[in-house]
Amino acid sequence: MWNNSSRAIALLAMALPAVYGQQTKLSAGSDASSSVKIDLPADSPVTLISASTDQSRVTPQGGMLVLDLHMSLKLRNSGTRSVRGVTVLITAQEFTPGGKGAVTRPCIDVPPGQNFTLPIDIRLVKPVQQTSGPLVHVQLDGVLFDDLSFYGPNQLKSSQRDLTLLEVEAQRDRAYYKQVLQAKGEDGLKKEVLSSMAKAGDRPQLDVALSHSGRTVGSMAASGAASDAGSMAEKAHFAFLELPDAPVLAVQGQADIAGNEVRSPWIEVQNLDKKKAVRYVEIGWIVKDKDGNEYLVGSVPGSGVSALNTSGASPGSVIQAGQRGRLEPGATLKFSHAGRPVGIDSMTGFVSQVEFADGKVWVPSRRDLDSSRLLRTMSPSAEEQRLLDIYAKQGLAALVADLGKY
Amino acid sequence: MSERHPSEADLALLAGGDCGLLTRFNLNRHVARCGDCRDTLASFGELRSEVRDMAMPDFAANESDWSRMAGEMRANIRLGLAAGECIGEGPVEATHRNRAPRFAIGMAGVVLLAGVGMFLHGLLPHDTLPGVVSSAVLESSGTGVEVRTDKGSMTLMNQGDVTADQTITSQGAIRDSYVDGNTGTVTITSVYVE
Repeated sequence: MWNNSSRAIALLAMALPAVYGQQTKLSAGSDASSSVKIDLPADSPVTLISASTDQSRVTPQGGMLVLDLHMSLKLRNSGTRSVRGVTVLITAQEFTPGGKGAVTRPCIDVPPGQNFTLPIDIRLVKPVQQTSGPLVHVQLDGVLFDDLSFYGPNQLKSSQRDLTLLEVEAQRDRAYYKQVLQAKGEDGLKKEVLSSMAKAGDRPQLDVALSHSGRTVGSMAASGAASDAGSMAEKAHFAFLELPDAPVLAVQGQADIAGNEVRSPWIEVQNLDKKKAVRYVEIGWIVKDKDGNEYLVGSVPGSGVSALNTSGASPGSVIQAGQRGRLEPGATLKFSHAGRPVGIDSMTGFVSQVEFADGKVWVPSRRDLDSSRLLRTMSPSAEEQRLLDIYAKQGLAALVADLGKY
Repeated sequence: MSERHPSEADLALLAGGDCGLLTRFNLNRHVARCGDCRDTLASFGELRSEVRDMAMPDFAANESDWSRMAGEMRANIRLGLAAGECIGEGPVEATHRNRAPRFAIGMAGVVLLAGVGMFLHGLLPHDTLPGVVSSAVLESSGTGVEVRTDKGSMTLMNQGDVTADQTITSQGAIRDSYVDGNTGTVTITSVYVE
């Protein structure tokens, strides 16, 4: 009997780590037996050459599986046009917070027949269940080409818009630095790059908590602010910065402010274009605290209103030429800085992105961005970040060479 | 001289192959000569087969399932102890010489099961992980991006030593844009919370 008990205890000791805390490596492939299934459509303009999942791990924690994906996909442009951006959708579990993600690689120029890599570093969670099939599903969601045409299922609904906006911003910033190089030479380019790096470094940072339903339940700092402010919310109106070239005008807006919490914001906008309908508008926020410090929310977490509801219409509808619409995300935002709540004194908005119904997009020009002291602290675009990083890591010659590529 | 019959518990252990060598030898010798005990042993064997063929429940995915299972386990343990007492009080002609070691073994088993129960309860989803809930809060700070629910919070993105630009969109996504200094690769990673 004692021998049997000892055997049972030994088996238990071996089995428990399998349930708690033990990490398991993941394998990738296009077959259903792989723990990471990679799925590209048959007519996809990019094809999978290889996939590496060396550092990917799954760790059971309580009733959840934590999936740390560190993968690298080697893809080939098998189409006829240069690829400028790719997005893949990664699904561990639908409808679970943190169960779905996406990885985008913008700012590339891959001619037909060439290979490129897509690094995937993401953490997702899924409930523990006895289900067959792969743990993670990686699907191609969109490919953007150099003529701004798009291929893909666009399941995320925003892949085409995001890739197009990133590419248009990239074209704007590459053209700007090329122009500086041409007009002012390498010394002028160096001064401009150093100035941009200084601006990026000086950007004030805000910590933001966002909730979609009711009040946020956030941090201690935020809770303190809520108690300071009690439940007394004051209605505050937005002020707006008008950008000369913007096709959409922000007309009026309002939100309830309680301490460091902004509730139920809404903004009314007007489509100034005389022919084209607008499908999507994003408003950047600038928040001013009680001490007079200004934070450009559009360049730090919480880029503000991005859902579009036209007046009395369902989400996803458009604002016809010359008509007005209403942005009403139904979100609550809460701001803190260095662990302390930031009491909000006033808010300023500006139109930061517009997508027309025909898929074309508008972003502020460099001239627009230089038109206001506030906008000069906006976050650099992904392409500008890349160019500044090339200068910082490889020097001016490498930056000049990169600007000459395309 | 009439031989005493072994207890039902001993026969159950024999059916499961859980007896020691000497006990098994003695029991087998008795069963070979006693029709009643042979029938009892056969019924225990059939019962084991039926239990083995029963479908096991799915692995519990949430706390309520775990709590229910833990409750059932505790109830089964209590039921088992009560049944043991009934057997002890009955008119079964059982030998008393092994009572003390059996009691000690039984208590050791109860302590072990209680310990395992407490350990398993520690494995339940608790305040370090978000559960499957309808609403969540995204929180971004200098150290990373967290998803916070009424069940707890969890870091989904951690910047580490990589310079990243974080954005929380009002559509319910955390977006982390960073440049790999070695390759110059820009990657934008988004995690959706709703």
